[in-house]
Amino acid sequence: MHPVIDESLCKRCMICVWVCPKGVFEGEFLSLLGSPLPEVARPSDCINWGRSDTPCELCMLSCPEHAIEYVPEGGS
Amino acid sequence: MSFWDFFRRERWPHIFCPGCGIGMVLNALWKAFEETEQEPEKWAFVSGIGCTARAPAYMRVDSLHTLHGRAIAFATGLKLGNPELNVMVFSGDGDIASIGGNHLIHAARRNMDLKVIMINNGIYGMTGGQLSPTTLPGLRTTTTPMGNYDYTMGTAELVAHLGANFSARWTTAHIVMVKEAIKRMIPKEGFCFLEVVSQCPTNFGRRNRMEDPRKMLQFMKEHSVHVSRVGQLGAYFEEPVFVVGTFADRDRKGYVARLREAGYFESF
Repeated sequence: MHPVIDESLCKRCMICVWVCPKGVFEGEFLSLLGSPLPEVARPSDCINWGRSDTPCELCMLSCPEHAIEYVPEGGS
Repeated sequence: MSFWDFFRRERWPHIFCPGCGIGMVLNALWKAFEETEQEPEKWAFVSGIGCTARAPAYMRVDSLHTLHGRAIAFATGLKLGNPELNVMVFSGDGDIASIGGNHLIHAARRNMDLKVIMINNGIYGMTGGQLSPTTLPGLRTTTTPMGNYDYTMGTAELVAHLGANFSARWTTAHIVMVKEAIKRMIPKEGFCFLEVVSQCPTNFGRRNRMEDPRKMLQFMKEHSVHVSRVGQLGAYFEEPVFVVGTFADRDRKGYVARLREAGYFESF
C-alpha cells in the first residue's frame, strides 16, 4: 500500500510533509492562501510499501481534510 | 466502517482553515470508533458554539448544537433522559473551559457518564483571535498584542482533581496517542475528559510567527513534557509548556449507575 492525495480535498497545509518519518511527500508551503499541491514523491519509501495492511497511518490520521488514502501498488 | 460511513461526504470539504487541527482529531475519532466497532446510531454528539462545535454537523450521528457554553448541561439532560445512549460532548476550549467552566466542574464532580473531547487551540479562533483562559503565557493574541501576562488554565488537571474517571491531555502532534486515549474512553463509565491541544495557524500562528502549520506542530512537539516527568502540577510553569499524558484513570461508579441503584429510573 502507498498513499495518494485527493487533489479536490487537499487544502495545501503540508502537514503530510512534516509528519512522514520516511520523507515520502514533497511540497513547499508558500502561504495559507495558496501553495502548490504536495506530491507523493517517493511512494516506495513508505512503510506500508509491499504490504497488504497499513501499520503506519500517520499521514492519513494527520491530514485534516482526510485527503490521503492508501491504495495497493499498481493502482491509481 | 469506512471514513465516509461516519462523515457526510456531501458536506465535505469542511469549513476549517488549511492546517487546522480539528480535522486531525476527527480522523482519530473515526479510527477509534472503527477499531472498537462502535455503531454511530448508539451515539449522540453535543456541541456548543465555536469552530470545533461545528464538527458534529459533519458526522452521520444525532447531534445537538446548543447554546454557548451549555453543551455539558444539555448533554447531562440527554444522558438522564435516555441512559442507554452514549453521549459525547465535542467542543472547544472557549465553550467548555471558559464560559462553560462551571458546568464542566460540576459534571466532573458528579462523575456524570459523559465523554468530553475539548479541542484547545489556546485562542478564541472563530471570533477573531482574542485571549482565552488556555492561552499560554507570553504569546500574542488580538487583545494581548504585547504578550499574554496570565497564567494558563490546566483543564485536564482540574478535571482529574475533581474525581473524574478519566482525564488526559495530548496534542495533535501526538495523533496516535489521541486515538488511543479515545479508545480508552469509549468503554468507560463516568466522566471521561480528553483535552487535545491543537494548532490554529490562521488566528494564533499568524500573530506568533507560526503561520506555517508545520511550525506550530513542531512548537507543540518541542514544548510537550510527559506528566510522569513533571508531576500533576506542571501546567503552572511560567514558560509555555504542554504537560501531556493521562492524569486520571479510575473506576469509580458513574452517576447513572448510582441513580439506577437508588431506583430513580423505575419511578417513571
